[in-house]
Amino acid sequence: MKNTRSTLMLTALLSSALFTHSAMADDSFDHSGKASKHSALAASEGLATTASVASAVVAVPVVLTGSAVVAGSAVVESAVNESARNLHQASHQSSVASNQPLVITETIITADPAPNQVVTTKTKVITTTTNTKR
Amino acid sequence: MKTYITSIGFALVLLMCGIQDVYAGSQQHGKPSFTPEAIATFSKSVEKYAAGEGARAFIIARRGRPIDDMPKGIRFTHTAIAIYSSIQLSNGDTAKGYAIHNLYQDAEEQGKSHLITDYPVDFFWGAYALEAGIIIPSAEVQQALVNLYRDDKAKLLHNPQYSVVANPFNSKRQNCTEYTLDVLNAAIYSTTDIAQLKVNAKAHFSAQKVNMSRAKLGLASMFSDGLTLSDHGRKVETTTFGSLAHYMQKYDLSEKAVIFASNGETTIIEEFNNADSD
Repeated sequence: MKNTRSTLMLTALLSSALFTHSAMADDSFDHSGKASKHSALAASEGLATTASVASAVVAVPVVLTGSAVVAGSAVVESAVNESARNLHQASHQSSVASNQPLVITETIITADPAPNQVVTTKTKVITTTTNTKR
Repeated sequence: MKTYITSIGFALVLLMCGIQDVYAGSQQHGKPSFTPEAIATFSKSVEKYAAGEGARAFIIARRGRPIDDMPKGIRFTHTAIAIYSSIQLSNGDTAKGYAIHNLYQDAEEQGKSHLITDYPVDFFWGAYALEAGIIIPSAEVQQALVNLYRDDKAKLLHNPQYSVVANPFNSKRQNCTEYTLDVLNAAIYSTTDIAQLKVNAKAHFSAQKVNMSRAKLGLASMFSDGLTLSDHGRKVETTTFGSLAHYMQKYDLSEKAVIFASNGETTIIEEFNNADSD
C-alpha cells in the first residue's frame, strides 16, 4: 500500500514536471531559415497584387539626426561591409523627417536561410552537377 | 510490486512523450499555424501600425503557445527589438521596414542561444496566435536604441548561456526578454558594462515571479538544457514582456504599450486582464 502511494506520487510528480517543462519551454526559436517559406509566400494567391516577396541582404538602422533621419552603417561591418556602405550612401539621399509616420515597403521581406544551409545546398548542387558530367 | 513497476513504466512513457513533445515543439513551431498570406498580412499590419506611430524602434513580442499552457501571468513567449531600417534586398532594391533583432534559443543545443536578425514575417511565421505585443519607447529611448544598433554594440550584451527562466539580476544565463532588457538599459545608461547593468536592473526592475513550484521547475530542468535554476536563489523570477512594459511605464520610458490583434484592434496593456504582467 505504501509502495503504491509512493509510486503514484512519483508518477504525479514526474507527469507534472514534464507538463511544467512543456509549459515553460520558450518558443524563442529561429523561424527565418525555412527554405520553403519564401516559395510559400511567393505562391500565396491571397496576397495583395502589389505585394512581392524578397530576401534581405542587410538592414541598416535609420538614424535620427536633428530633424531628419538618415541611415547609419556601423552596425553591419565585416561580411556585409560593402553592401552596407552602398546602402548607407543610398539612404543618405532619402532622409525622412522625424516625428512623422514612416514609410513601409509593401514587399514581404524574409531573412535568408542560415549560411550553413546555403553552403549545404550549394555543395549538393555542385555534387549533382559533377555527377551529371561523369 | 507489479503496481510499482507499472506506474514507473507509465511515468516513463509520459515522460518520454513529454520530452518528445518539447523537442518536437521547436520543429512544430517551424510549421506555420496560419496561411502564409495571413501571416504576411498580419506582419505588414504590425509594421504599418508601428510606422504610423512614428516608431524608429520598438519592442515586439509574439505568443507561441495557447494561453492556457502558459504559466499564470505570462502571455508572450518571445520578445525582441524592431528597428526601422533601410533594407537591401537580394534583387538589388532598397526598402524601408523593420528589422527585428532577436536572441534565439538554439534548436539543437537548447542551453545555447544566438543573435539573429529577421523580419516581421519571419518573426510571426511560427506564432500560435496572430497577435503582437508592442511597446513603443519614448523618442529619447528610441534614439538611444537606434544608436546602439547603429554602433553594433547590442551584440556585446549577448550571453549565449540560455535558460527559459533566466534570472535578470545576474549574468549567468540569459533568455530573449532578459537580452531585450539588457539592450534597453544599455541604451538608456549608455554603457555595455554588464555588471553595472545588472546592478541597475536589481535596483529598478521588477521581475515576473514564475508561478510554479520550485520542485516542479527543478525536476523539469533535469530533462532540458534550456531550463535551469542554477542562476536563481530561493525565488524564481524572470523577465517577461509584461514586466518590461511595467518597467518602462513606471519610469516614463514608453509612449505606448499595446496588444495588437489580427483585426487591427489594439488593447492598452494596463487594461488587459491577462497581459503578461505581474
